[in-house]
Amino acid sequence: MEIKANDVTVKYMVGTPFEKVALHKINFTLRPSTYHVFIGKTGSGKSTFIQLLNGLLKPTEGSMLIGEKVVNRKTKMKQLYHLRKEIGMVFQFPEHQLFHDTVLEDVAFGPMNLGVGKVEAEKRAEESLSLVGISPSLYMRSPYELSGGQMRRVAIAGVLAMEPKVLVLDEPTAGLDPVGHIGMMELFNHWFKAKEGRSVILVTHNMEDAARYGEEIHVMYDGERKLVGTPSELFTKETKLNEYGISLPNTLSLLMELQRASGQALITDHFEIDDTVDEIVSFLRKDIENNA
Amino acid sequence: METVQKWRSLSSCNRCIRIDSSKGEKPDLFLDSVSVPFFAFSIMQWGDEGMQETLQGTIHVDSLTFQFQGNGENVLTDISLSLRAGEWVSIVGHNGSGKSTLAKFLNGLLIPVTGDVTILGMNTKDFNNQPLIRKKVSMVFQNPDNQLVAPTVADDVAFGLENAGVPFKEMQARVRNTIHTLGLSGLENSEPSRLSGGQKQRVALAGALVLQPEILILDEATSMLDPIGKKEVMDQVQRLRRETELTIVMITHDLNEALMSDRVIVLKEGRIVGDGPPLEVLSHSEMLADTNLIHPFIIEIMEGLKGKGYDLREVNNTIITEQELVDAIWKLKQMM
Amino acid sequence: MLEHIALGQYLPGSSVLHRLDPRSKLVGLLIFMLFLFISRHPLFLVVAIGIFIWTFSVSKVPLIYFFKSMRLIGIIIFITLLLQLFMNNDGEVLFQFFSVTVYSGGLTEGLLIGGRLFILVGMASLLTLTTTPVDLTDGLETLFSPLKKWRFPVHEMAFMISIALRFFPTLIEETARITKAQMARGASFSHGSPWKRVKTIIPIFVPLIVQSLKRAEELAVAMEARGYVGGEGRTKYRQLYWKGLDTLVISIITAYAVLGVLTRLL
Repeated sequence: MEIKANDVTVKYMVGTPFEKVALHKINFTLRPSTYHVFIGKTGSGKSTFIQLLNGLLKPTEGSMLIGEKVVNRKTKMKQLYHLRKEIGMVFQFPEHQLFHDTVLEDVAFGPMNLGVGKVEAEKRAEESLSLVGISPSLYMRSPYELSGGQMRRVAIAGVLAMEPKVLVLDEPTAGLDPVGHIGMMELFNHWFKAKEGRSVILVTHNMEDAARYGEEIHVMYDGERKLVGTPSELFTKETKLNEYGISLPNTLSLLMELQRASGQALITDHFEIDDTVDEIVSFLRKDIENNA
Repeated sequence: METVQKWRSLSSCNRCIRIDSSKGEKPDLFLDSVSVPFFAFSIMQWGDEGMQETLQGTIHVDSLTFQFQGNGENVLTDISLSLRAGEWVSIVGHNGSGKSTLAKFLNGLLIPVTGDVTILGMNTKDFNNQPLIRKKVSMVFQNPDNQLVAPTVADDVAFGLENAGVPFKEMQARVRNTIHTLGLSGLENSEPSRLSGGQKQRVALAGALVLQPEILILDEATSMLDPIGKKEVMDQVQRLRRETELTIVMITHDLNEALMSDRVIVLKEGRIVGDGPPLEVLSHSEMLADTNLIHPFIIEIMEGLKGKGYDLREVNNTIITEQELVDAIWKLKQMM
Repeated sequence: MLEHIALGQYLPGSSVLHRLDPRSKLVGLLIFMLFLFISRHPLFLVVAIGIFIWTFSVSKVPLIYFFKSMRLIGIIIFITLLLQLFMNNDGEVLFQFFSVTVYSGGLTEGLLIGGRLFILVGMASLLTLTTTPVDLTDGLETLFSPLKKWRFPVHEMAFMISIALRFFPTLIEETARITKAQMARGASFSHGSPWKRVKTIIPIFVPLIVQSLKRAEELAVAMEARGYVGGEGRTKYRQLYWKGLDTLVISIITAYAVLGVLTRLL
């Protein structure tokens, strides 16, 4: 699904002394069937932007084109409601949204809101629960009896069960331990690849994830999208990224430092540990060039 | 499967103790038997003077086993450890490994039923010790929103002092100084809800430090922060390690943070499975994999290179920063 | 978006009124209110209006904010005025409109009651516009502290208010976050029968309660870790300073009260 922002401005607290511009005349298109990553400092407008995608916020000025649907200041709430079928959204700490008596009911809540019948909704719930790795023995338990990590996966299943075309993820791994983190990121990647036409929009502070999973990375700064590109295109623009308060993925940062220290040319845009190690090995094996 | 139980000092770390490494063959057997001897072992090594210091200056946990009420599972099993004065210890472990529960024992928020916890020579079971323990051990928690009590920054920093009944004049000076040291000047009258995550945690840290504790416990204090906030807090911890004699206990699952400390204790399902200098403990692949943890980035690269026949530890065996890693690689190349 | 919502209606400033000790403001307001209805003597009313206008002008509160804060009470005052106009039949007939007759007594009574009500609420509004909720709590705690002798939990009450003030914005944010999360899951809060609408609150209400309980528990642990054991033996970081100006304010208000009593008796 294509998503397009036309001159979109979002202001908060309009008409008060506290008025704040969160997004300033943004203009860009998000390609369909792509893993998008949004990076930028806290307060750069990332969170505001993703709320435009499923109509939780409306543009103060300009309009969004989400698939076929136009959203602007005048769009009725009722119409926005339909966007939620298409765009699934996982907020930070999604486990805070669980409320039902049982895990299964909670996951079925989303599909049932979309008008899916109870039987079908529970079938979808079971599918997405197994996708996120929650065993059937937990289906009838209260979500509050689960561990933090399990609760988060149940909450994510609740979004996946709505069968969205676009999955929006706002810092989905915050607070997870390293292995939990990788498992979660792989889960989203798996979902993304499992079916043609799906998109992911990930908001993260983790540059390693951005580089590893992102096909198109967008840099937000001060309410505007400043840069966009593939990980290799983007992370080699070190000075620009510094300006926008963005650090480099640790693999690339290491290779850049090595390049600087040695004066030898290296291929720096590696984002996997193994590739990085190989690059260092080939650096070690290479004869020292005279220009050093 | 091996379990790390090493106690070798780093040449650069003068506060670490030198004890021979020992290895267990079978993890379970090993775990059950090692804790107590290990505890005795470390005291033995320190000698009389050291022992004196330990008894007054640190925390001892002796055979602590704990379960929450109505739940048959142990959250902590047979934990024994001693912390030395001035040490910066990281306690790492997967989600649910019991590390935050352990932290609550280290300042008497939880009282042992089985086993003992002695803080600065005071057994936490003795209720009369509570007020003094509160003064000597300060704690910063994970969620910045759930530990700031007062409506403004200055009031919050003062909270612990108010509770301790510190006179106004002294309180005023201490609050002002602490706020200044933590770089919060100008925010005295701000409401906590208007601060950034990093600022909130620094306020919490200020509220802890203003009590001039001997021990500071950070319970996943950075885990809910963005990178800038994490750095704000970690910079302060490193400053404290440099400039003060404070004993720092840091609960974390960010192994890159743990790498900076003097000692790492690894918990798995409520048991200690690793304890020693960060570089050694965090290099132990099987143990980490077994505990849902992953090498810190620097070590991951070093292990990768070692697998290809390049051992950077021969150049420098105390690499913990990117800069040191780069220098070592460059040096290795020049040596070749 | 919600970060600027705060409890109360305090407007930051540095006017004389802002700088007054909350105790003198509270006591002053109390006396002013108690005596406002004691006398209807024109001299006294002029003095009361004078005090009100003087307070308003030194507060430097923009007229717009003042009237905003008076919106709701304005309606009540207006209704009072209408009631008096239509129900009171003292004095001469002023005019007749179909079956409604307005008497002069109704007009004067209406204006007197409505006007005094306006001044009364206006003064209270000026107090909250120029005093932070924290200062108000402090002032109240100090003023009520003699009650501790009779075991009235003054400190605990004040502490509770202060924690409520601290967590109000957090709670608002949390509510907004959960609401958005549930809306993203297709929950709708705007259509359906009343019963259906009540039911739609559950997905917000339950997580909110669960989160608040968790917050309360964590806060309690944090407070315990920081050595909180109640009001006993506690010192206070917030100090109130009674200045000459405060004494002056109380003197003026006392003079006003005496004038009220005198004009009533004479």
